[in-house]
Amino acid sequence: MKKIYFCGALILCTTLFNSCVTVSRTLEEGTRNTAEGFSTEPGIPLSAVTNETTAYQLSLAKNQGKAVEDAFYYLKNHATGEQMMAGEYTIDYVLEKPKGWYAQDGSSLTWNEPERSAFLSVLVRDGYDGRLVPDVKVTAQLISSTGQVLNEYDLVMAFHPLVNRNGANIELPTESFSIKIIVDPPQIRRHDPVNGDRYHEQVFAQFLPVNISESDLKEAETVDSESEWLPLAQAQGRAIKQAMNAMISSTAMDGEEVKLGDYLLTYAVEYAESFWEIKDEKLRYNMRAEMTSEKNAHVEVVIRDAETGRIIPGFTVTTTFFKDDKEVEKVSPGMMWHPWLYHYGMNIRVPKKDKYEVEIDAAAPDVKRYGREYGNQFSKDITYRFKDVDVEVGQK
Amino acid sequence: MLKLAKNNLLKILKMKYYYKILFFLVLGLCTSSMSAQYYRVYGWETPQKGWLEIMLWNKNVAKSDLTFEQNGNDYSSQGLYLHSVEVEYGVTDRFTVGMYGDFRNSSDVSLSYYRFRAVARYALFTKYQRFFDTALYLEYYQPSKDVEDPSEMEMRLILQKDLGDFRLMLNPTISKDISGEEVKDGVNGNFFGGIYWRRYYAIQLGAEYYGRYGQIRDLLPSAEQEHVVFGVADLKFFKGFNWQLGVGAGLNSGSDDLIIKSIITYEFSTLRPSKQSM
Repeated sequence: MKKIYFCGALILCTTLFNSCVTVSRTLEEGTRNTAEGFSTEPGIPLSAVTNETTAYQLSLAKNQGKAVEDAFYYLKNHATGEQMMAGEYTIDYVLEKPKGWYAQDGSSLTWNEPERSAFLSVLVRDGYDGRLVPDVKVTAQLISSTGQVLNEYDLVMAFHPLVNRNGANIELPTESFSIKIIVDPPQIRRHDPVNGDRYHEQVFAQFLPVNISESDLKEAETVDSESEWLPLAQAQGRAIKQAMNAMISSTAMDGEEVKLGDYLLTYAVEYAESFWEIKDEKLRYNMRAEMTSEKNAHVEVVIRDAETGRIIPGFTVTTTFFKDDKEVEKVSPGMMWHPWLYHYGMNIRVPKKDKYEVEIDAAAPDVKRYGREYGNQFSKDITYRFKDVDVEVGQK
Repeated sequence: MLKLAKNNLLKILKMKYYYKILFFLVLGLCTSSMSAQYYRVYGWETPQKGWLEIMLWNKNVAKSDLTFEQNGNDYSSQGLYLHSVEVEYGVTDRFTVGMYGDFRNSSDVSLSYYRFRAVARYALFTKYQRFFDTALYLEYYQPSKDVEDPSEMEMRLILQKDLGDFRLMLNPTISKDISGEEVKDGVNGNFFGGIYWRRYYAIQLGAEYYGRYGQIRDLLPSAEQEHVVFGVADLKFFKGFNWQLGVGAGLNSGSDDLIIKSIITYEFSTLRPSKQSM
């Protein structure tokens, strides 16, 4: 009997010890060494066929990811860059010459000259489908050979001519340094009861030291001729367009796209649906939409660059539903992760199944536009009213 | 007094979920205002893969001229309490299995276990693809040895239709005794249905009908059939919790006159998708 107690105590102690080890892990621990450096232990995120996605639709997401990856390889080949898996992400970094940018100034754009000595950008992509993950917070630390943090930068999502990414102009250290990228998970809601359960933890990727000076840096997007990189940007747009067509034709009850100056504006309406959301700092599945008819439809909005078809970041969107010119619903949908088409989305309530007018309003995007030529756009606000929108009511 | 009640309710809502389960199990067992049949109309939705649903059913026959049998004796159904504890688990997003243990007591019979049930539900198609959202339900009844009832198989066709804020749920049902002398009897025909107003999350009202007609090829005289209507309210106080309270009235002499039912459900994710091997 004593032996049984002893074995039981041993198992209990081992379990407790293991739990403690797990709990006490710091950002640097639990890592994996790679040829490019070391990172949080990688793990492929979910990719299941569910009530929200088919195998074909998952392939549409992969097409989008492939187009973004092709753009990264172009940057890497024309500048300095590297790639590493970390947690549920693939993290790519690129070092280029410092960049100038356009910023919104009232109803027009103001050019800001390049500053500092380099431009560091990071693409945080999904480990399964390769798409850029929206709403991640990205921090870059430049670390000396002795482990000292020389500089730290917040890398902010912005519009770029070739591929949108998080970035900032930085001061290059005079000595050899390694780049450590820290990614905090997105705070946005996620569609899909299964695939939406992703991006839980902060992760990092620390690349091997680089010894690079200002004179070594190149300018990948503008030095080369437009014909080389523009098709890569347009390929990203085509992949998104393909997913949007699938959304409108096979999933949504109604949807349409219009061209408005620099923008392509698309809406779609579906049944109200459940989602994952961050609550009390934890990712939880909110099934309320399925358990009541208080919300009976879901509106989705995508705003793309008319030139390349890529999604433009940084909008605040408002959608208003009208019946006989009377407002029946008004919401400000936030960005939502979706297994194959990111969009601004929110559950809504309309009086009944009917035809409505849907007005979409969005102020010009609150992001930097890099690129002397291609960054000079998106200064106008958006207001457009779609007519005869078929809204069926129900809960998915 | 009201302030005290409000404070207590707030305390309950702040409890972790396992305390909530315990609290409501105790609450259910203590609900004293609550014949061998349970009353529930099933809908198309099933717990998702890896989700566990714990349910506590209570029923009280408040007024009745009917009797029930135990240990070879007949007892008055009036004052009979039925208690059932159920666990259902989502094997896939469409397929769920469950087990019940049924207990009963009355002024003449002390609390005793009297039946085991096993159920399986499968949701067909994708929601809103067909005129009715359709699911299949199979249930096996195994009475305890103290009860002379036969073992029984029951199959329900679950039909669901959302009509704006209303949800219509129909359960045409057949059942067959598969042991004892009754095995030679034919298939019984039953029909259960309900309509629910789902406009608000916290409280949803509904009306239900339960009819048991006897063997399909030899229907019982109408006076001996069971026809019961319920008014029900579904209450949701916090995420995953549902409490259905209902008052039923028998419409003929073959039915209990007044029935009170309570079904407390708590659903929670035991194995979240990112922890499941895909």
